[in-house]
Amino acid sequence: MKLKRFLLIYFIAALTGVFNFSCIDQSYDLEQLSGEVELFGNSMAIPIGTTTIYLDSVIGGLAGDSGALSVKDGVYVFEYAGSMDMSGLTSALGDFSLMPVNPISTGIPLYDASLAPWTPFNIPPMVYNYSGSSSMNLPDFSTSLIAVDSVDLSNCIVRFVLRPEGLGGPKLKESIRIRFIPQGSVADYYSDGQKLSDWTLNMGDTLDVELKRLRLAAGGSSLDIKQEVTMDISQSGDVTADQPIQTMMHLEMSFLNPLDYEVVYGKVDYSMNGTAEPINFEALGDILDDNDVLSFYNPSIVLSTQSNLGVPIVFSLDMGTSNSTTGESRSLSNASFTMIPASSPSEVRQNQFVIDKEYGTDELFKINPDQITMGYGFATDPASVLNHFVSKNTQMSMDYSMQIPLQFGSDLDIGMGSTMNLSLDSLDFLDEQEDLTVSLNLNIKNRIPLNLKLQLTALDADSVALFSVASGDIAAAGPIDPATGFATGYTQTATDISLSIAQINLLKRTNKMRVEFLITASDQNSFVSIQPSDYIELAIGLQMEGGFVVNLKSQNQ
Amino acid sequence: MFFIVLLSALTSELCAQKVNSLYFLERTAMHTRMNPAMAPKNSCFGLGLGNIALNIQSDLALSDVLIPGQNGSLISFMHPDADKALFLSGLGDVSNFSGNFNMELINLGLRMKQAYISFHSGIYMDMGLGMPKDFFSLFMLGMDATQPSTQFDLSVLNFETNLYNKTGVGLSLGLGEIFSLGVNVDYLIGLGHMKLGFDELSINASDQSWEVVSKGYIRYAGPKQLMLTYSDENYLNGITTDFSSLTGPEASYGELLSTGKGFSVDLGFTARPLPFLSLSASVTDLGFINWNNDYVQQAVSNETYRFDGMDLAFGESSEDEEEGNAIGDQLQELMRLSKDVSSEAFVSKLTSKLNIGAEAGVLNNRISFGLLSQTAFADNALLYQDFMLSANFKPGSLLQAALTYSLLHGKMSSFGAAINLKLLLVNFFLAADYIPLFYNPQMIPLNNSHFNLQTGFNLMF
Repeated sequence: MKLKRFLLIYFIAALTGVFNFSCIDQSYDLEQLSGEVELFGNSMAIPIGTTTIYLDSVIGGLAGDSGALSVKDGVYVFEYAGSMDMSGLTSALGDFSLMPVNPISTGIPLYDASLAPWTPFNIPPMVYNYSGSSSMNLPDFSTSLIAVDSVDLSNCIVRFVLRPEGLGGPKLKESIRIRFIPQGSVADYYSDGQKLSDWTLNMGDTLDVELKRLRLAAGGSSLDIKQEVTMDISQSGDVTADQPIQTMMHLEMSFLNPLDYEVVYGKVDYSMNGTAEPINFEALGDILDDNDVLSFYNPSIVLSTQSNLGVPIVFSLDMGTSNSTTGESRSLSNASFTMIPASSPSEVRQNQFVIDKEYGTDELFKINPDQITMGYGFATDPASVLNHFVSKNTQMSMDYSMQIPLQFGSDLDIGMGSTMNLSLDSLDFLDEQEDLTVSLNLNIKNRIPLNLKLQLTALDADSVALFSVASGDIAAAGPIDPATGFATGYTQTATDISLSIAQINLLKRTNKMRVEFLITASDQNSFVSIQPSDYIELAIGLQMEGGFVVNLKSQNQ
Repeated sequence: MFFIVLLSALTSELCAQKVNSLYFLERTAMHTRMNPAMAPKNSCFGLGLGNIALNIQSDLALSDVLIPGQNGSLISFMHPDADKALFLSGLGDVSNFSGNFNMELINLGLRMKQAYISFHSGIYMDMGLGMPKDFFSLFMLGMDATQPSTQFDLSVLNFETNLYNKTGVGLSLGLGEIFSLGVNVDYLIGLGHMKLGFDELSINASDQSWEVVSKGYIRYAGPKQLMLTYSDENYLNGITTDFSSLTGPEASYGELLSTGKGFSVDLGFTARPLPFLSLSASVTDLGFINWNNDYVQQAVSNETYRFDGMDLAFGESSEDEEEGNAIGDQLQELMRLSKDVSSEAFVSKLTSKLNIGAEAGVLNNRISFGLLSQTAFADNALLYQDFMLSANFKPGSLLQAALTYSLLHGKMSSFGAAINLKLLLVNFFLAADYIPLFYNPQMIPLNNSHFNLQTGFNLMF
């Protein structure tokens, strides 16, 4: 029993020793364990993703409030169209009218019966000839607007009325015939559509003759008509003198209607100025910065006129652009043209003028304008040897089309981007970073003939820039077709955007991030053209170096 | 640290281990589970607390992952100041983490002279994870910035878990004064099984793309309330649960018992050729579970995949958070495991163990010394070989105790102890094979990467 008791005590002591007398190492106290762990101590790269950005997806949706985007000959073209108000000219010409012409009355002495022994006295049968003339004075039709040379009249009827005095007899009408012979070439007379060189009436008749043209340039100021009167009495008693007086034939000549014209020929002297509705140039939105140089290679303004006006007009376009932010402005130089007049009143003449970079259109957009103003002035050119006539219903219209091909000049320097809101509100772990640098690795295939650079700008809540980092240059696509400016190949560039530890710490204050492409022109050609099929292919990877430190204790708190 | 703790709760070798220190204490109520021929001398009954066993193994001990510094500071192996290269150089190609748990729901043993008949039912859960060395390298060091790309070989990544119920009867029969034989026959109900493995899983990482070669599979057998989920591209992207079928009026738990079925057998033999010498041998867990194909979900991969990030659709509105998730989703799908609709029934074998022991007693066998050899094998492959020396103290029916020294897996050695008490009708036992000698102040073993514990209360009469 003593042995059993000894063994029992011994064994219990041994077990107790095994279970309870082990060593406790204070150096492994978990209370003192640092919560810091470092991931990716050397470096780590994670593919973020790839994307292909076709220009059609960026530019295709852009258009201003009054513009349109189209593709012409493979090139994007912003187009703004409108019309000029020409009502001033047409209204002024429409107010022109011909002065009224006063009627006249003349008389030609016929048989002298003042000594007739009785009345009615049978005028002896024989042929008697008499003559006379009439002259209807015309007013001066010219005004300060038009120096009238000639007029094509509209529905201009002149009535001739013959009336005897002191004559009678059963065959008076048949016996006396009067022949009218217009003198000079002042006017053209028509009857029943036939031009008349002379015409004959019997005594007592009335005749309406249409007057179609007046020629006033050679000094004509009156309508002169010679009358030859033949009194042929076959038998005694056919014509009698009813009073013992000098018998007469009276002629009354008057216009039935107010004088009106179809066409007035002559020098027109008129000038006016006007403005078109300003264009809010919003096509590119707010993707451009204030300091950029938006260098369109060859914007053009196409002016198209239609008119039946036979007057040469010198037209000048006063087009300008302005940037309301910077106050800068640009305008065209020497943009004036002569509108060729219609060759005839029946023609509607079309004129077209193209104002391109020769007139300085390429300078208009370099200030990054937000408004385009368009004024104009025109004046007739009296010195011109061209036609000068004004039709009764003068019509004139002027349309403009401003076309901006997306062809860029060598001084292009713009930024395109957008600002994104960030919600980086859990970045306290950045405090733990000591050596961490982060970079975005970019492998870029560029099919756009423009040099690019990707820039990230961190903004605080007040949009104040905290820091800005940019990639290296991304080479423009090449080669470039010198004729069209199109890229015919692509380039590949590997670059990166790196954030230092100081910049990483600033991310905590970052409220917004502006992502921007800085764009400059390729120097391979004087200009480049971009087309819908142009694209940029991005492969983006995230690279961390120096180790990413996380404090698990602070995370748990 | 949570990650480390989590890993250390897992196991890569699925073998429900008993605490070997109990092997020579034949009065233990659970002893027939180690050798069916070695039965207690009394009848016993246990409910719920009859036997609880926990086993955790790791290739990394606390002292491997924590580094004391000066002035009482303590850093982990991932701390910025830690020598990561040194840590990685100490790793093998794969670091295994495993764990298992066993709880007897009911245990009844009846002693009838030379015969001992038992009935038992218990829950067994095994889990294991194998982490490739390059997995640590990937997260600790990342890539070699001086090279255009860095290769990570993760082919040995594996995970397996097994949950089943074992219910059976046992018979231990003494054949005269010298020999005894024993057998346990168990019916196995598979409750869940999941396995992930690869023939090849490698990543060639560069800043613009990761080229992934993935040839492997994940297989789950278990209740349909747990489902593998797939992306629109039919790649595995997670696991979800839906227990609505278990909460409605037509809830049926029958399928929980239909997932897998199997059998296992334990065989034991003892011989006492001399009064002071006992020899014993047993084979345990000779068995299998046949998993019903109606409850099998499987995803396989056999492709080379180039991951170059997500498709950054320019100009389309998207939330940053969604984009971040999209990248995460794609990284999650790197294994390219796609749904395999041709899932078939399969058989999972238990890890069998061959125990051979010899015990020599002195002082009328009140003190004995034992030697145990334990060989674990599965699918005809040797998993490990352990040896244990044991000094046993058996003064009477009141107390049995043992001090052991184990050579574990050929990698380490450790002291263990076991005690078995019988106070009136109450039997209590407690045993551990790997008793740590060094602890930190939180009583976490420092140098031991293995830990097990087995305990239980039973009525013994």
